[in-house]
Amino acid sequence: MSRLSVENVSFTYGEKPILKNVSLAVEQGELVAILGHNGSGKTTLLRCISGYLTPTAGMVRIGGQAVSSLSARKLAQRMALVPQNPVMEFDFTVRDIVLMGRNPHLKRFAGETDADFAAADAALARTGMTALSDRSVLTLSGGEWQRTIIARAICQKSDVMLLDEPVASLDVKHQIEILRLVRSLCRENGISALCVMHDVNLSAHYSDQILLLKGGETLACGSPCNVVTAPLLQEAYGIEAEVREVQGHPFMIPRYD
Amino acid sequence: MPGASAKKARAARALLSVLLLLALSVFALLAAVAWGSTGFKVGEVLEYLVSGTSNAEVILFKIRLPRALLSYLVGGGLAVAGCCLQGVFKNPMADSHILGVSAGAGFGAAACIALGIGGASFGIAALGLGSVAVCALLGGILAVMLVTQFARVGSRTSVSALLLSGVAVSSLFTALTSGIMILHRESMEQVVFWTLGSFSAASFEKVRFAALCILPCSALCMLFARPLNIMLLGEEDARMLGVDTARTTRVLIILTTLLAAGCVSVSGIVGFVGLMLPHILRLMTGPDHRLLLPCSFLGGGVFLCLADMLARSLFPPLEIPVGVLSALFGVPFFLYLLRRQGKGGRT
Repeated sequence: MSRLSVENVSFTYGEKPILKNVSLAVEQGELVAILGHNGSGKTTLLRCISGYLTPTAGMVRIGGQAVSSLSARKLAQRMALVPQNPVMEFDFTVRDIVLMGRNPHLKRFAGETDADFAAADAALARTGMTALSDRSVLTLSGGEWQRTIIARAICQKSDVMLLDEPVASLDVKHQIEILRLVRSLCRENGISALCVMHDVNLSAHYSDQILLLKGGETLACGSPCNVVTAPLLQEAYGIEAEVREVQGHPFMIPRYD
Repeated sequence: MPGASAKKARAARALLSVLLLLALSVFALLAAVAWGSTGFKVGEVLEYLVSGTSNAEVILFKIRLPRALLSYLVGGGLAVAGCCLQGVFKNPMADSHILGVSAGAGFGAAACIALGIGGASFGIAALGLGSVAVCALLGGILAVMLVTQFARVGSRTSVSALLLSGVAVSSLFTALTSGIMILHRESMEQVVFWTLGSFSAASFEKVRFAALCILPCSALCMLFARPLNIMLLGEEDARMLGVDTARTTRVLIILTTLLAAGCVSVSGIVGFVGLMLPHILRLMTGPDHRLLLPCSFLGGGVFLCLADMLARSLFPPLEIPVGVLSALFGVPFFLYLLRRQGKGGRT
């Protein structure tokens, strides 16, 4: 039984089909990237998996249980989300935000215990945010804020982590930093991560499996070697690209002119 | 700072803020009883409160004490309701009236005053409320019910739909109130004064009703402090942190409506407190609702109690509507804090 399984999920918004019959299995410790053109249904798929949207047909299971049957609290104990553009306009400290990851584990009206603070400290250390723990989140850079949100997801101690374009707005140094961190969470802590991505090369380098969507349908699904190929990229994005092997992984160079 | 000491520092800051506001509360209530057109010494006030013996001025305590308590409770209730709604809507402009409570209550009061709907028999004697207060209470609750009903799309209620629906329903009730006033000019002045807010008709019956409504509702709101913090991150995010956002929003709308309608029914419409006090206190306590909500209650109480004291004693025997006074004093203070915050303070 897979850690997370997406079974023939379709989603229709009004009359318009957004997702058609998408299936995916994510194992323990696996990092899966979801790729596709803008509007191909990547984020909708992620929202169907997180239970924010209810699939029109099909089912999503986590550890064998239907996501739709779990309460928000029970689901959050097993699944964490790193949203695309997290916003916080009030001046909580970095630690306050990370501690919010403990919420699904706390009794309804209880306060955080020393163990919860220790879990937050560990998550802050893991993301290299210890020195900034007591800073207001309003003063953080984009990369620091993203690491805070990932620290919160780590602090949640769920075994599935969904990330919606976690590196889209970061410079290349921070992109590498964040993806190394996510990969190490998968390899060392056995977390299953599902990343919506735009960057084909970063996906090919860091992920174990790529799901390539086109117009809401699965175009290809498998190892980066099998998915990042010139014909499939042509099909998915409508671009001409040359694919080489760089650092042991496929690397695409699009034709610009 | 490691987690353990951060936890201690947080607790210490919370304790300090609450103790400071409790001390201010005692001061404000004593001052409001002691200060007025007839002077008393603080010792006399304390002696009365402790022994309850009657000297010649006891009657003033019977007037001033319920008035002080009522303004304190209403200030606290409005501040807690405003604070909760600012959190639910993630909108700094939200306050207890945003869902139409005040417009609905104003309509209820106008209908009662001008048209004599209900009459004396409508006054629920057990609650000690007059028929105007009961009509205002029902009007406020009715308005919010309409607002939430119109904002519902399928099984979901979106926050922006609630805000728009609140504005629309408020406009409708305000128009109806204006219509009633034009058709019944003889009661126009009474309606206008009611909508400006006043504690001049305070009584122990009203204090008892206010306490029964405001204290439990405020306490229940405070139980939702942690989910409220998390909901500041947005609905989708909050759900994935284990918060049932739909249910929390629903419960908080019910609680804040009861709070605001309860407040308005005993005092008329008092502006400013619900909107500004949470902001002022947030600058002091930070955004964590676990501290901010209790402090809003205490701070709102202190503020309105002192504002009412000034309202009745600045130009005796003329009484300035407390809502006017609270805005006159509160807004410049708030703007000062806002400016200071912009210049290198907390941002």
